[in-house]
Amino acid sequence: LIALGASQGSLLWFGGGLVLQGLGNGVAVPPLNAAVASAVPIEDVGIAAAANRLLSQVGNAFGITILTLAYGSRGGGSTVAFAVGGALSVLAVVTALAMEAGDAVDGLGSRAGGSGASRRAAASGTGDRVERSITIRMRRARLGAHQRGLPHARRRAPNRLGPAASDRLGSSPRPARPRGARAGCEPAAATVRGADHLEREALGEADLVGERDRVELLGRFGISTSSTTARPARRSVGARPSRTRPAGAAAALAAFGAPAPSPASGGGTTSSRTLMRGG
Amino acid sequence: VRDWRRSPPSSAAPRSRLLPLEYFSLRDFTAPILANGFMGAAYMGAFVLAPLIFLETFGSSVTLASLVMLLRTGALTAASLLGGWLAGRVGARPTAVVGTVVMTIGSG
Repeated sequence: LIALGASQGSLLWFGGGLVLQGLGNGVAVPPLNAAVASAVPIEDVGIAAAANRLLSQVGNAFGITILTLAYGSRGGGSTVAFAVGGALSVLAVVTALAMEAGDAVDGLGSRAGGSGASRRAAASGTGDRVERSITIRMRRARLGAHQRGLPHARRRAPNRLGPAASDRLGSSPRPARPRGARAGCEPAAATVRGADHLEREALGEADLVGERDRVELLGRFGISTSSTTARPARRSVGARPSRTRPAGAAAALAAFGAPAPSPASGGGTTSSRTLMRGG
Repeated sequence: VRDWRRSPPSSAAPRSRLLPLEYFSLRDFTAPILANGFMGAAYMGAFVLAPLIFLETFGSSVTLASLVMLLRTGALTAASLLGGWLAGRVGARPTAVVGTVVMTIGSG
């Protein structure tokens, strides 16, 4: 319509064509961007977006250059220039038709099987779980610092649990600990244990927050873990190391109203250690 | 961590850190990128030329020219919402094809 309006001298068609161009571009660009982003594995979405952006900027620059060239060259003019623009958008139609579904998630990885929607749901679920796992590990690292009574952690760690944890523990709000009290005393230990359980429940499985990961993460935060990890083994000589929970700890947990985790899930490695230390 | 000054291991081609070229073998990756480039070319070319044509060929006022260009940008903004909604409803490919066809009609 632009080229037609320019050749006919019709202002209405010219302006209408311009607005229609805006409409078409607006409708086309979001699905194109989404298709690019969903064609690659999730860790490379940034790469895909950068490549997409690069080529669209190159297209912008070349479009300005080409149309201006067609407008200013001998034998050219406005009609020729906008016809060239029309040819460019025909190329855009062709390339858009060359797309496949455009909705595939994790293009390289999971091409086979499943509808687009189910794959999308699965992928988002995975991402969600990984994200939760990371959040929880960071929280656990902070709680670990809290156990050892680092000053900043002592102030902040109990609040990180949120209202759900304290509801679960049956003591809401948690009674304030005296300021000078040792960080390893029993209320704090129970808080840690409750968080532990809630985290496991949220994740649905214990392997994501294994003890090894926690130790590794604590190490990454610059916190030495040798004292905490070595302690249960040293204290319970002769017993199975680190996976056993003393009976006193179970009683203390029951007193706090928290459901006991199954022993098979390895629940309460943090709690056993803490309770042993406190009590 | 591999020492970057040494030559890469000869067994397998190393994965590029900046842009893995095997992605260009995916049509869902390459085609939308190219379409985006062409769309940008058509759109921005007209964006630069149209005010000139308004002023020189049609002899209209600067106000009218800028109003039409503003309307164009507003149409793009509103249509982006529509495009995203449509892409969620009917899929990315039909929406992109419809958008590019509308763009072609507008340009032609």
